[in-house]
Amino acid sequence: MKEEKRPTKARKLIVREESEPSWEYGYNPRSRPVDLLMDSAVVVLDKQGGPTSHDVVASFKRLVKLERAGHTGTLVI
Amino acid sequence: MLTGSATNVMSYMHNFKKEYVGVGELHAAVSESRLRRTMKELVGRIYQRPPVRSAVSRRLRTREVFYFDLLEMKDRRFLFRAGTESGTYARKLINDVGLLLGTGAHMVELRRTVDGPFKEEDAHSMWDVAASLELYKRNGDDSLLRKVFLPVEMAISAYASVYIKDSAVASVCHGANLAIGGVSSFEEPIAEGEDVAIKTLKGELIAMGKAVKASSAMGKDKTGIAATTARVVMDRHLYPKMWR
Repeated sequence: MKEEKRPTKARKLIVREESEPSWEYGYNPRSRPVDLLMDSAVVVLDKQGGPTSHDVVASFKRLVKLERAGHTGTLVI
Repeated sequence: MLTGSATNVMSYMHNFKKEYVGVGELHAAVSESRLRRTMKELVGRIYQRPPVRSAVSRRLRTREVFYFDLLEMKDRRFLFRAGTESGTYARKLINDVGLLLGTGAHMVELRRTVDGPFKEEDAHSMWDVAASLELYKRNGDDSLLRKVFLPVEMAISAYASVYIKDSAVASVCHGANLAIGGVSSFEEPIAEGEDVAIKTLKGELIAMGKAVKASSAMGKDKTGIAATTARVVMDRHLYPKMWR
């Protein structure tokens, strides 16, 4: 991968008021339960030529048994 | 691909920078050095009119090409890598190479290798998706599943985060705007009107919002709205209601 020419903005965390999270509810995004993860996830699909993005979304939904799914980008050529 | 409530952040992912690797074909033989020079001319801000068959309005617009490199050349075919602003048509870029050379050129193959925070290595086939589900179903092994299904937070990592207290989470989940008193910390800089990711202290995405206060004001203001809530992602029952 080549280094991008436009620098990505470096961000600094500013604390306004310290606050402790409760662990009685919510999860760390990396370890959230599988059912929650699958209902709010990004899947980078390697779409081979052939089926359209629309077809791919449809078969993905069927496979994962999802009500809602959508693609964010097709290869525009 | 976004699943379930993550589909709500879709409009925040359209302006990502892209990288493509593809094959172009010249309509007459050209030396490698000449091709390389011509490609370099197309780096920077360029004019593009979207192609006839495209989803957007066909008026002339400018797009930035960050890099456009020749990887390999054989006879009239060449392998290229291009890093571009979102909405740049690679096919047009190759046509332009042909125009500048005076030979004509067209694109033969194209593959997107980077889309914002996602790289080719993050991509999985439909078989991987099926295998990850099967592995999990059969023996509870979620290792592949967690590689295939990435947390929605990854998709919006380019946006500045505002971390809010647990007591404010449920109200934002219900669509309320974020009051300044609910803010625990935030990333600097944030401009007034900028899109921000409103997150819990654990880093979970609650909603995408629009900053009403710039980061300079967010640190010291005592009253007012810090950000308006635009698209809620988190399940409204995950955190308890704490308002009366």
